Amino acid sequence: MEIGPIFRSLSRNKTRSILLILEIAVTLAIVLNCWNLMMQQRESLMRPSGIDEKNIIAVEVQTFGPDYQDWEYRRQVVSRDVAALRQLPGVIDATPISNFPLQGGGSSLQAKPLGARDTALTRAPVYTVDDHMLRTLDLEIVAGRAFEAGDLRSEDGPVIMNVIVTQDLAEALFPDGDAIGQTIDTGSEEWPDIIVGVVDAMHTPYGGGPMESQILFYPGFASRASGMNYLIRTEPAAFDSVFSAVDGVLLESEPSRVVQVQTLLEIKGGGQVISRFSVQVLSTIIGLLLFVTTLGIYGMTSFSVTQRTKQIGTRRALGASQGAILRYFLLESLVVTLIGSALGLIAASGLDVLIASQMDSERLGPTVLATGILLLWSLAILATIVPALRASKLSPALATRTV
Amino acid sequence: MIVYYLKLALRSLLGTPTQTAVTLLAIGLGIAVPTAMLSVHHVFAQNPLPEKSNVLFNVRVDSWDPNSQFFDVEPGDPPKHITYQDMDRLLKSQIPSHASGVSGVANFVFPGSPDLQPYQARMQLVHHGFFPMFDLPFRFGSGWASQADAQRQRVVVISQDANQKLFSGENSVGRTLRIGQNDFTVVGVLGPYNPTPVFFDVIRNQMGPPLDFYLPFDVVRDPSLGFTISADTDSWGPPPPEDDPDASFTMSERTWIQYWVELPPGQLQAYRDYVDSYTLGQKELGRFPRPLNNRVTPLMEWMEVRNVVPPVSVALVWISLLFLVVCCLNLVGLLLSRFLASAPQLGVHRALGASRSEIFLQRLLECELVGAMGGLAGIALASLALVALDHSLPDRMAPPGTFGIDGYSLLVAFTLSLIAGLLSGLYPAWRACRVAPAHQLKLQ
Repeated sequence: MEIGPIFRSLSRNKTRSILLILEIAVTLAIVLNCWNLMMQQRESLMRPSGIDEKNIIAVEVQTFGPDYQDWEYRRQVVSRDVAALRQLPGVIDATPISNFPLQGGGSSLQAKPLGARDTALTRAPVYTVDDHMLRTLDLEIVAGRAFEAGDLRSEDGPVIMNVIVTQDLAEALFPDGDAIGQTIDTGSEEWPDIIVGVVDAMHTPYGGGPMESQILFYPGFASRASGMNYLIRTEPAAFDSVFSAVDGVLLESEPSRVVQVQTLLEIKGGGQVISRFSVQVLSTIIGLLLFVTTLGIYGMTSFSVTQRTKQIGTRRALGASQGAILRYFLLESLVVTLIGSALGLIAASGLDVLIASQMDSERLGPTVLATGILLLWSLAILATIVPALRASKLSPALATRTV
Repeated sequence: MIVYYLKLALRSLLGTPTQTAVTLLAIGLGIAVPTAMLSVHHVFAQNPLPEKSNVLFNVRVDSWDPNSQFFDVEPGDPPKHITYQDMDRLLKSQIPSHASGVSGVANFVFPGSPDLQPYQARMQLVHHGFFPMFDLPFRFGSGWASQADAQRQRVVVISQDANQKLFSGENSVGRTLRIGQNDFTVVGVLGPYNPTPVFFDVIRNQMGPPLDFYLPFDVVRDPSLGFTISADTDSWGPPPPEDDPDASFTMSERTWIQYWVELPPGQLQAYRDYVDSYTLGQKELGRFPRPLNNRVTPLMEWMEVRNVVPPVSVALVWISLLFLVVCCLNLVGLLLSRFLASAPQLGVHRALGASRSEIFLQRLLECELVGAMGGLAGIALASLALVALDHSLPDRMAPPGTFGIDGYSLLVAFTLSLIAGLLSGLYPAWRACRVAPAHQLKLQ
């Protein structure tokens, strides 16, 4: 094998080898960390919401006028609106909702089992919805029961409420199981809430952490003097026709208001801007970096082939086959890449620590490491093989020409 | 001499156009990425009010629940905003030269013109001290006087955009604007005003644009005006009595107001003592159950407390600088091959009497020229990247024109390219000046 000559030749061309090794090391350090950050952002982008988001229409109604200061008046408007929306052909169901899920944030409160110490407080996003919430969001009851018309509050002011929680919230509040029938304190011991139902998984982006899937649902006619929101789930085929009909249906009964119709996916997209932006920037940096480094490896190998034209000719004249020359250059590149990768791994973990100190991020994992290294190696081979092939095709006659 | 060297360098670069183009592209990319990232970072991290940032302070008092941690702040920090009752009492202090609460409400605006639909708008609640404290530019009129705050006068200051939209850009001071069910008198119209970030309301409106309407804070307490609070609100403790609608302001522990003061030089400690003694007084009345933990935070420190600079942007700056390092390593290789390829020529130069230091300087200058031209390419690439960025982010996060090449970006690109040229050039230039003339001449 040519390992001996390779090391001797590398140490004779110290500068070139050191440059290449450093370049590969720094590249690997950056690529691995960018890749890691990118995968985390992608994960949060890909995380399933647990609801039928692509078939849901989000309607925001803005109201004005003194009538809407009155809770009872608003309750009637909301009941009339959802009844009309449910009549539309192709609509599976509809519910008023206090604010839209998936928008990245919203409204949250702290809950604990009634009488528990405050250390047991768990933060949960809150949505006020009516008894049509399950079918509208496409959630399943796993314990207890769904909201019934009787759960909806019939007057303004504090009352004891029946609530539904996600499985994750039920487990966070009552780790020993069976949350059904338990009372929880959400800020007032006098007016606790009773858990009547537990639904399967739902997830809404809310700045990270476990609270994103620990969700609390209140029954009611969610509305404010300034307006109300509705969610409408449709048959996939009827989505477009319902989408364009919503505005007319709502303005027909109450013309003096402003209706804004969006798809829930649009709202979700708005909440994910930072993640998508980071993925774009990071993937651009990774791409450019690999491009630049590949170019660099290609350039230096080409240069070393040109410099060693005479040696190559001599070796060929002394009987080395084309394959042997090709193997020599590939092996040389492999040695450099290996040393560079080893240094790169050290630098990558250093950078990882630095980044982790700046922001909450997961540490480098084996999948990222393996993928990054394999990618860099294949590019290194690709960048070497072209000049190496050229070297192997050099004629032995070259060696004698200038001696 | 320098001019002659530059001529030589330029001729050498133009002599090998392909190689030069590859080199410039490589270093240009290396300059472009950190320039773009640092420009973005600068937009988030810049000082929005450099002349006054050291006399402006955000005030927080720890009125929170003893048994739970406030949501959305670092452990051990007081709540991010304060209650109405605390603001109301802190406003009585004579120490600050100006003071103002900042929060938001929503209501409908009914344009006078029949062509325009009524629309809902978020409006900024402020006190009269807000305008002089933050140096808001007025096109027409001015802010309001202190009695307008005390009497809950129905006055409004509007932005230039709102004035354009509602009053066709005319001097609308003295005219009325219907907000909700009531008429408000326009007392001031702002000139162009677009601070980034919107430092006085980073909790709710960090990246702007600033709101179109500014109202005397206490109008929110008049139920007949129909304003609804539009701000982050966090509450604890017993709900205020139902029968008194004003109790949610005067008696509740609901925190929802960012409180700002401008302090005369040397008054910071006096004001801190004042805030502490205020809270100690409240403790005697049974409020403030947590240990004394108040903050009077300078403007720029407040930006850090609120993480106005996204952590990912800091990480990206580091990463982009390392990207430049890779490009520089590449550049060293490219310059080295370039100079060694011209070794015969260097041998002739040396034989004709050029000293080593002259060759070194001349080659270093060539490297700096490569760096500078790469910098130009970098600025072009970075401006493309920034334009793309500006378009890819929605307006509510980054209004059009937020990102772009400015003086800061040019300075960054220029500095980086000179440093990159120098560092990458030192070794190749040194190698070039070590070329042995006799050996090279013999080979020719």
